[in-house]
Amino acid sequence: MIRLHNYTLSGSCYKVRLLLGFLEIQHELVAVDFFPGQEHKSVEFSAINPLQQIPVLDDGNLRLRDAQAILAYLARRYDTGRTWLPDDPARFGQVMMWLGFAGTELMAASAARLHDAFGFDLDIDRARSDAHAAFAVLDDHLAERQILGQTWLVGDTPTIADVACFPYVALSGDGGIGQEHYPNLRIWQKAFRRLPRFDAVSGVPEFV
Amino acid sequence: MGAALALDTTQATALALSAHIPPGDVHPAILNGFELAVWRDSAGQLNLWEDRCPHRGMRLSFGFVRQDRLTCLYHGWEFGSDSGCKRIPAHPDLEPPKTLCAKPFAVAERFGMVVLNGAPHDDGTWYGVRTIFVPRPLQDVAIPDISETPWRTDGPFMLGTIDTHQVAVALHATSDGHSAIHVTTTHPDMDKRLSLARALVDHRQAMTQETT
Amino acid sequence: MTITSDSVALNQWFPVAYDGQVKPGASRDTILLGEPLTLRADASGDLTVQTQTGDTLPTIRAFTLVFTTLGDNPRPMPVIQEFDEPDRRVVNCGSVGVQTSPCRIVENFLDMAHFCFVHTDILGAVDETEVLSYKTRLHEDVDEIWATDCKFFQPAASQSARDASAGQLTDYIYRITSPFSVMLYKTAMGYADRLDAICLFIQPKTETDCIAYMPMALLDDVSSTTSMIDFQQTIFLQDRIILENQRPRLLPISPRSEMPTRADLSSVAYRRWLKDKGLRFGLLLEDAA
Repeated sequence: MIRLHNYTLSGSCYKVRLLLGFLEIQHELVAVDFFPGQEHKSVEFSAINPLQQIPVLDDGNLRLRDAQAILAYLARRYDTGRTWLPDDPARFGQVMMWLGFAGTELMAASAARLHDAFGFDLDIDRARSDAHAAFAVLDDHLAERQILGQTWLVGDTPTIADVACFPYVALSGDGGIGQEHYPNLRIWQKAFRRLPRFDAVSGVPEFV
Repeated sequence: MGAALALDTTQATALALSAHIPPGDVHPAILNGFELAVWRDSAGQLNLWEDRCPHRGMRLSFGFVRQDRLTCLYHGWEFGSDSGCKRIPAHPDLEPPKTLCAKPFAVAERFGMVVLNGAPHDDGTWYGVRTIFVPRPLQDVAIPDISETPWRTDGPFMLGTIDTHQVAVALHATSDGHSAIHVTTTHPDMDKRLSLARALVDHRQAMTQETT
Repeated sequence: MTITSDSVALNQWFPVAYDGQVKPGASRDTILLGEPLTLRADASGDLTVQTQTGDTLPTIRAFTLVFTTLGDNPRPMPVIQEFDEPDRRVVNCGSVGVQTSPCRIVENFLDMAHFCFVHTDILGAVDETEVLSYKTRLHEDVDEIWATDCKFFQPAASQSARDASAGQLTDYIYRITSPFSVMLYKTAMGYADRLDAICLFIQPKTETDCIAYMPMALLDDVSSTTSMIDFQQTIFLQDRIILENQRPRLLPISPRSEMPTRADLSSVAYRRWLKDKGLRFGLLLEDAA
């Protein structure tokens, strides 16, 4: 059985839970007391992931860290329809490009949320302005996609690029980042939330 | 702190692209700091309300649309297109009194945009291009140089020409010294609209760099 | 930022840290009612609280939290005996920042009508939305408002209930223990005559920027502490998106500014009680409509 080392309120763990749900993969959650316990910084957890980060996925003898790597693995291994991580080289490249964006630029929105909700000590003005810059890039891309009559970041169907980018966009309000200036981003999120087997998380409304 | 903002309803102001408010969706809009909820019922009818539930002040733009009603996310109060509350789930048998209602504003669509205090008008087919937001107060916003003919003013709109088709631009002040630039066109060619959208991103970059 | 002049607000005990938040030998800056404070932990982890001018403030350690006051004559701390019962699990859920009035946070905690929409399939179900009539009463001896005879159908009322059943009619009792703190008692899984106790204490940094603390004293021999914290944080972060998007952020207490129904009996009693006390901090006193 797949085991996910998980903290419910983590956007990065949420990415993985979303894909496990979309692909209907049986799994077990191992709760990590990220806050207030900081269990991810414990000696025991360092043996699971020396980077002291969640999520971590165990599938048999395979152990993976990094949400984006886990999404790519799950899609390759379990998506028999091969739509969530396309084989076509151009689309594969585009998906990987947005995965990289989700793991770097977009994480500024995560930092703002950690500051506002959990009291993390960091430069909140910088986090918010970096998040806005990343959101503008995503909104610009989606504006073009919507002119072309497309809904998703890459191709005709949702991919792990959408899954990787959704959580910290959808949770941006938790970090004091409003979405009034991103109409294309808002339309994309509503479409994502209407996907079959979509599961909400605290901070993302159940109803759309 | 907490002083109630007023909304200027004396003039027509474009607030969003029609294409950005699909049937069955609710979205936020901010005009001079005043928070508004724009929503369409599933049949496509447009509504513009203050973004605030009369019950406990929750922003209605966080709610959801089912058929011809907007539901508040907080307690599930359902409001109809006449802005009256139709159902209070905590009291399923209660007929809500007429005094329970959201605050509506006059709205119409013109040149493919959602217009506060606009007059209904049959404009033919308009396509959304983009709304871009720039960190400039309204009076300092430069109009993007996208028309092949001199701009012609029509109320809050500026109308121009691209390849014998029309293009419309309208502005509104949002909040904190930011402004929105809305652009639509009758041009049926997708690639043309795509290149217009890219020109608007360049325009935003130029205005943002001048500001910072 | 300047300290408030509201004597009602000043004369309260407020939480400023949860147990273990400031590591032994370390310090942490925070804000209370606009006043910057420094918390210093000695080698055994005990905290001293100082103002910028070097005044040391009194502290009380209770309910897994450290409390202090800026007033000369603070309202007494509430008595919550459940935290002293040896067979209970006392759980500290950390703290969560919320950008709204402390009074909006208290009022949301008292509210049952939002369970179905905000805590869907946990504390409420969309086909069981009715709030049955309940009672509120001012207990003058302790100056607390209690709401009693509250009942609500809940699919998963707690972590232990989530693991055990398909839903239950949960009994609730609410206690407003100060203008800035509130608690509830609710049906404990497997106990006929004892109730779980869940508290909410608020540290207002400013009128619209708060830190919420949620200590609990639960009857649960089964769930892991991590899963109990997870449950409570999940609930509170579902509330947080509501709280930060209520307008205005200050709680309006003019009767015309927001429209209550019978389900809001406790909220109406709370607003009236705040008004009678002459509280101004966190409130919008003029008509917001």
